[in-house]
Amino acid sequence: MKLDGLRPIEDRKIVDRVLKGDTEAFNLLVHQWEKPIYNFIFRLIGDREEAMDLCQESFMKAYRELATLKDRNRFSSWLYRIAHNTCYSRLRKDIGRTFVELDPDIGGHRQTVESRLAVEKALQHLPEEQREAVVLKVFHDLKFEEIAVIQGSPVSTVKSRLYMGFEKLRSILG
Amino acid sequence: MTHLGERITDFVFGELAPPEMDEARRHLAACADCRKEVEQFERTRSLLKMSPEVEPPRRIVFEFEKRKTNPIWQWLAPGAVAAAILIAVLLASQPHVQWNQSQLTISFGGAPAPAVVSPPAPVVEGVSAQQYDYDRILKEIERRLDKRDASQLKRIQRLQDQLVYLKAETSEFERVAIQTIAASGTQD
Ligand SMILES: [Zn+2]
Repeated sequence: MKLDGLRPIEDRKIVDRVLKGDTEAFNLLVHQWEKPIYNFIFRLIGDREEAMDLCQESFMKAYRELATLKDRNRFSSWLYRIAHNTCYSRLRKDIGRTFVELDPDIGGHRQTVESRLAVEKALQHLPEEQREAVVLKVFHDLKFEEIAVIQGSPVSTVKSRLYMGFEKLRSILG
Repeated sequence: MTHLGERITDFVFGELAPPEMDEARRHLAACADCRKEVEQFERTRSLLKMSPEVEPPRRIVFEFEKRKTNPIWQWLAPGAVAAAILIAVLLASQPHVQWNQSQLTISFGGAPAPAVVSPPAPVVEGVSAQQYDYDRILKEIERRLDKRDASQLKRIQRLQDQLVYLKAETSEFERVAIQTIAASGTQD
């Protein structure tokens, strides 16, 4: 059987299938989004295992609340929003705890590992909202308007967060 | 036009409307301060971009239906490395979360979604299912995973990716097949 030709299917179509009762199809959405969502959460939280838990929790919530998704063309923003809420409720629970437990053994070449660590460390110096805005913009290429929806903040606030975040990162990363 | 200020973010990420974009470019041509700002902004962005995406430590797979056999487990076990780790964690509360070969299986039993039924718990040798120290198990799994050849791990993950795809795509066939077998009374 040939597997090479498998291509990502439009989220909207999969959401339709799931809501029509083909619950297994939800695994396609998971498959398409687990890596970006995991990376989003990991960069926000800074802890691999914690990120995995939160990622899993986000997808469970997404499954349970899928019927409430109003605009099926915006599944991904909606999913990021759920991941955002999941992370923030965890962060609120862990006030005073800092997530800077970074594991250098994820693999890859030494140099990429080092630059990854430098970036992750620098990101952890930013306040959460700034960090999140930077991560969503730089690594996930989202529009300011999408980030505003995810963060539940005005677009102008998101832009300020990004600007201030960049100023700080510049002083840290050189 | 005044200095770009915070609009620099819109400029660098290409989110200014075309006329404003042109205006910003004209300003940059004339203003060394703003040019420097843009350069530094771009530099920070490239530094950030040097940090690659990481692979999730496990895959997430949702298991929805009650079956005689669980295809994912069936397929994975023979394809796994010789020293396959097979550990399942059954949490006391729903949903069940199971762990196997870098893959996380979440099953809904008594979950809010009414159509969803818990799948049979896989038989796990040497692991008692209750009161398990989740963190300790994960640490142990990680320790063993670290020992493995990285390329082998990648191959397995790729295979799993493809299986997840295939599984979801063939769920229709599967359902029909199960019904047919059940109807003919030869399912055992
Ligand atoms: Zn200027």
